[in-house]
Amino acid sequence: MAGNFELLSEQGLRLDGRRPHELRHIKCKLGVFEQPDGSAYMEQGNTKVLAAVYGPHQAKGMKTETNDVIINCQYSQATFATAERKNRPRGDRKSLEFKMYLEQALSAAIKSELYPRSQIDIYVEVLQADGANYAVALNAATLALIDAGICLNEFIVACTASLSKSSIPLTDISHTEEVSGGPMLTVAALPNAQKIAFLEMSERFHIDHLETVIETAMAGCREIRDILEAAVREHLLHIGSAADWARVG
Amino acid sequence: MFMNTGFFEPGKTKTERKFIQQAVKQSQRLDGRKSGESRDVQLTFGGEYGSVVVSLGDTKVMAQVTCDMGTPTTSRPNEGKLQLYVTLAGVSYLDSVQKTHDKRSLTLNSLLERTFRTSRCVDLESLCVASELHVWCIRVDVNVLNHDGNLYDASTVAVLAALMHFRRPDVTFTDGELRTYTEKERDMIPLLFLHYPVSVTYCIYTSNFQPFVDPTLLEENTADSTIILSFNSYQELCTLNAGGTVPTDVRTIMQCARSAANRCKAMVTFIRKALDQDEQQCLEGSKRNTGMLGLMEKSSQKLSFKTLMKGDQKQQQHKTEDMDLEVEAKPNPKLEADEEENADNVENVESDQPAQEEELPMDDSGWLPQEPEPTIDPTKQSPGKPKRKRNKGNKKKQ
Repeated sequence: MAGNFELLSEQGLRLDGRRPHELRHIKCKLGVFEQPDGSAYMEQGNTKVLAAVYGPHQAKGMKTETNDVIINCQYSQATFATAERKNRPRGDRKSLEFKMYLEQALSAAIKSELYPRSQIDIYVEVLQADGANYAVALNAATLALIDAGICLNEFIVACTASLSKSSIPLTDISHTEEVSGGPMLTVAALPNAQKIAFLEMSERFHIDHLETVIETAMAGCREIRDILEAAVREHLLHIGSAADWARVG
Repeated sequence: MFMNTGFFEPGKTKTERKFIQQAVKQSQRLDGRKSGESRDVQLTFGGEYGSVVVSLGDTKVMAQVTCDMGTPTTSRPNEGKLQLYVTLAGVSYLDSVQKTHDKRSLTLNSLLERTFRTSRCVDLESLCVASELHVWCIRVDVNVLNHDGNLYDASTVAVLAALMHFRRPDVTFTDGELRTYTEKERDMIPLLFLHYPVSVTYCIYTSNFQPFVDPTLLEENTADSTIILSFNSYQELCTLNAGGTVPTDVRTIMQCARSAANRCKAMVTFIRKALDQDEQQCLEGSKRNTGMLGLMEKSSQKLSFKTLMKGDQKQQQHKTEDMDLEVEAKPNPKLEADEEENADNVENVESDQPAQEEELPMDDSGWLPQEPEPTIDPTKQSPGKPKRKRNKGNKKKQ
């Protein structure tokens, strides 16, 4: 790949001026739509994602083999999300892959045994893609699930990490850093339980660095989780302010 | 040819799931392997350059490499192209819903792309004939003939072996004229590699924290989570995929990574050896397998991991035996689990040494906590004793 330039300058700053362990600025809001059972909007840097949740409702089809919930996701990228117009918003290989990974990660978070023979639909739309699309999509989906009132084992949070040429791990990769050819690792984790629901990695680096990069991503997950939790609490206070029932712990 | 035909895909029912979980709790596998033991890999090379069939137990994957002249992309005018196409032809069960089938082919496709294309395994710039005008487009077709678990490992080995086996025609570009030489005019040129990646798959179950390497289809479908690692011979990680219905922790992934690195190195050495042997046979002029049937016949030349790597192990064994004779006098209080012997680690067993454990690439259970083995009388060490339990042919115990 062309342009394998250094992701970290000599002053220790990245391409967008962040320090290696710094996340991008996160803005999130729950309950942005009226019609779906749950919805959320999330911004992480320039990546903007909308998520909507319908459910739990009766499962369609003859999926009677399990007593667990059926999780159905759809990952879609708006045609104007990338620098070049994308003619096919969903159904291409990348979207199908992300859809699969979303289902996998969310099935680890949702308390499946509480929703037998039901189906939960999660629709994620990426409005602007600037790196870490899957991670932000998953974070938005978590918020939307909370807004819908679906029982989760824990927050499920995703974060990306990479390694600069001088072997310093970087957190939260943007699009330019992604295409510059450095390795990229995406982790979807349950931060309190310290467990990994999904991990994906591409490009290559030596095994000795693997542990540090995973740890960096996990630390990023914990940070994002705190931010999301704060957002959820604020949302609760806001909607419960009239009856004052939202004063939690 | 298709040995695992059944009407319904194994591992989807509750009973099977329960059974496997119970078996795993006792560290038992249906085919008698240990948790760190892998199935034998057999390579069969075809008559044309770049065609190979890999069998990993009952899983059979065929890879074919072809090349063609083409025009490069505008964004990369002096790089050739590498395309991978995967077809799950031999996988169809009565109850398999279209969705799961697509899911499998999707993961396989994505994995192979990441392992070979994104990690820049083949040097694409060497495939350029004339910048912006003519480049070689290499196309790899992967056909899954039979699926008995662990498609990923079989496919990566197949693709790597096929790419390493492949030769393209020589070509010159002078004064705007492109001239391709046939095999008779000039020797065919092999591809240039930057590194050699292979993958290893582990399955994890909730009833036992140990990961199980190289799962069969039944084990794969009942697994709670799967870890797929792709290493190259330099111990660099090329791909990692971890996920499933139950989350895993970092420690398990790291442990898998360490043992996978060794296994991948051994696999690449094996592929190289197999290629050398195949070339020798070609030079000797012995009959080459032509056509697809030739590859599938039982009588076709199979190069197996066991036999090719046995030589390596024998060498190691003899080397450490000399060391042993000096050490024999001292009692050996600390012994590592010697899985092959199947013996309990009694202090005065003069069995093989920890140093040897590390050399043996296939059995990675050395790093796993010791499993309680049934006590068998400690056997005395003898030269020429086979290291691997799997060598059914010459298993002699004293």
